[in-house]
Amino acid sequence: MWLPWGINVKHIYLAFFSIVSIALCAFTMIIHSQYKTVEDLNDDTVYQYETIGQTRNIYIGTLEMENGVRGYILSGDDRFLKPYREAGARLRAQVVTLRNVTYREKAFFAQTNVWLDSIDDIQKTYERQIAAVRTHGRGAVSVQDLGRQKAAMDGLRERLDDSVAMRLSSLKAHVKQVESQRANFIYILIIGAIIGIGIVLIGTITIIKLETENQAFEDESRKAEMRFRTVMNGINDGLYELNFVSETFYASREFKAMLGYGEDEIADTIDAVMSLVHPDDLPKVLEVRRQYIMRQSPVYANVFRMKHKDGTWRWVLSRGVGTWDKFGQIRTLIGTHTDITEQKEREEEYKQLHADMEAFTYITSHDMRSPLVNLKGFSHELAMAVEEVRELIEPQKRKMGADTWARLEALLKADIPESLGFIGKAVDRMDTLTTAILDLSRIGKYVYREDRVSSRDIFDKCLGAQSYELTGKGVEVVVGHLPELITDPVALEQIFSNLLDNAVKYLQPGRPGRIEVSCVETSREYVFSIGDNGRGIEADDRQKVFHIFRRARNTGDVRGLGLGMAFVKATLRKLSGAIWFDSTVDVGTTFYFSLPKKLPAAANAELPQETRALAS
Amino acid sequence: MTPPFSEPFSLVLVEDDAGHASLIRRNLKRSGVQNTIEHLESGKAAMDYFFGPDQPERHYDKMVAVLDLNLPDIDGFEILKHLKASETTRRMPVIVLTTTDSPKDIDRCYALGCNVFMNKPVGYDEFSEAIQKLGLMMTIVRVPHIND
Repeated sequence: MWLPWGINVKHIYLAFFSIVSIALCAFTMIIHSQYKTVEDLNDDTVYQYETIGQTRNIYIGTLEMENGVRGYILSGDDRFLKPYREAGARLRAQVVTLRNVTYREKAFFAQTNVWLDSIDDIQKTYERQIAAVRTHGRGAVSVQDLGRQKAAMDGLRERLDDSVAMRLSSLKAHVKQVESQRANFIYILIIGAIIGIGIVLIGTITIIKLETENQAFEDESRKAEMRFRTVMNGINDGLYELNFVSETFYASREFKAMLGYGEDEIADTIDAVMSLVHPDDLPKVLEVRRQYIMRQSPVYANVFRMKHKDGTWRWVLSRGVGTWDKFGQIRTLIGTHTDITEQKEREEEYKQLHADMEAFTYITSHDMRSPLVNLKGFSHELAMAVEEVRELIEPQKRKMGADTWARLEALLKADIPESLGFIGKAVDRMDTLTTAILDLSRIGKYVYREDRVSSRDIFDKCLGAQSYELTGKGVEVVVGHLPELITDPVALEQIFSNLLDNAVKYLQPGRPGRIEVSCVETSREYVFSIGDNGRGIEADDRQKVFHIFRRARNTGDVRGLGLGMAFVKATLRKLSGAIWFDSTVDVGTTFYFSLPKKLPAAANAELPQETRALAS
Repeated sequence: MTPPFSEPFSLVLVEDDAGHASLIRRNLKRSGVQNTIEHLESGKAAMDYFFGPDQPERHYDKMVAVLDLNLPDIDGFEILKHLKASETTRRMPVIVLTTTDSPKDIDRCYALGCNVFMNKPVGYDEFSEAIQKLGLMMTIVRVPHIND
């Protein structure tokens, strides 16, 4: 599951927990308020009952008073008056208490006042009856008074009954309310339970989903690691992790096996591993690593020697990728070790060969040229000496006789100069060859520049150099589109001039020459072509064309050493280009050469000292 | 004022190839160089000549050295270095005459303090012409006047 804004599974768990907590709190509050309502209703019911009881007590009190008074009236016995007095005293207090309890009910307050008045009234009636009995003896109560008393009692009873009835009906309403509340309460519980279960269910599903995905991801990464490990094992590279925070060094089995050690034979510390690095290489190793750590170099690649368990040194190529914290401090460097001992040995061999070849070319060019100076010099000296000898013996011509003189003449004028001439030519040839070898060897050392050059300008320069020949032979040169490109101008001039030179040199005698030059641009390279209508190259000579000191068989009449194309080919190889040709004997030859497209270099590091011509 | 110093000077030729030495000598003579030419056949001989213990009295104020670089024992670069480092010989003009034409060698010689670098052409005509031109130059060269 893709989660935006950097949210991870942990955050989802927390959010889910919060929702559950909030829901639980809300539920508790709802239940509590429900409970409170019911509680209030209950309190009210109790209150109503108490009030009803109190009201009844008041009624009973008035009845007791009535009884007492009635008994007194009938018997005239003072003992009947005692409960009357007690009830009277109690009754007032009871009514006041009731009024105090029900102070919240304003209407009832007025009612109780009415009651008190009624009770006062009734008490006054009783007092009057008692006074009448005391004065007139028992039974002296008038029927009229009794009737009034009955009316007063009835009124009070009625009022009390009304009050009780009112309270009872209120109680009934309460009961209904409580029942509906109870029903609400059940609904709330059910709804709450459903919502709670729903939230938990959604949460659980989400968690399960996330966990499943996590599991899938872990499986995938485990598979990826398996693949990675298989590859690592397959290519026998050692894996390492250099942890700069904990200063530990993890090295894989292959890493240690590369140096002949078992898995637990090298401690997992940086020092233990670094102690195996060749002491001569150590400063460079640390410097290269430091540069990478300080982000001065974009990639980490270090080559050094490490000590094998058998005591030999192994060349190791260490490559790695670093991780940095947000302060730019290196945390880890993870990478591989490759045993490049074999490559390194071959490289050394190659270097040795190269050095040998350089020494050889140096000797060829210098030490072999020295004797040539002597050969040439002394053959010249000899020629001069012969001339002098001839002049000296000239006067002796007659003494020697005609035959002898003729022989001498032949020797001094023909044979000796001819011999010296051959010596001279041989020396010249030898000199050309050594120079050629030296020049060819210089191609390897020549440092190529990358400039933006106009191939048209360069070709025109070559045409200028050949103008004498071109005009002399009446050659027509057709120059097509020649682009601007980035390459070494000296090398390009060499290539053009050699190809043009060959095209002109090997034209078919007796046919007006025509040379065409053009260039086709592809997405990756420029392909130049120089075509002529010359004598062509035989199929059997195709390979020879690019070999040094070799020439095609139909070139005997033209002077040449068989160097030009070898130079061109070597130069193009250096420029990552290529050369090939199409040819038909007696029809013509077209040479093609390609040069890669390059981006302009940021800076031409430094101009090479040896910018001299490569070959001619 | 010091009078111009125009006394004849001698040439010291350090050259391991006897043929070359002979050709140089002949061509210098042909161009009219009359100065005495001393030929030293090896680097060792040159070192002994200039720095050996048996030649303490030699003066180098009327002398020009012509030095080949490709000497089998002690090469010309080393001799040049010593010549230009020693107080007694450093004012002596040194002409390097060698078959080498590598720019690196030329730079190195001038860096070491050589006064003239000349290439020995392989072609005899060019060679003799070069030596004869050197000879012509020699006839007008003036060497430093070293006051002892």
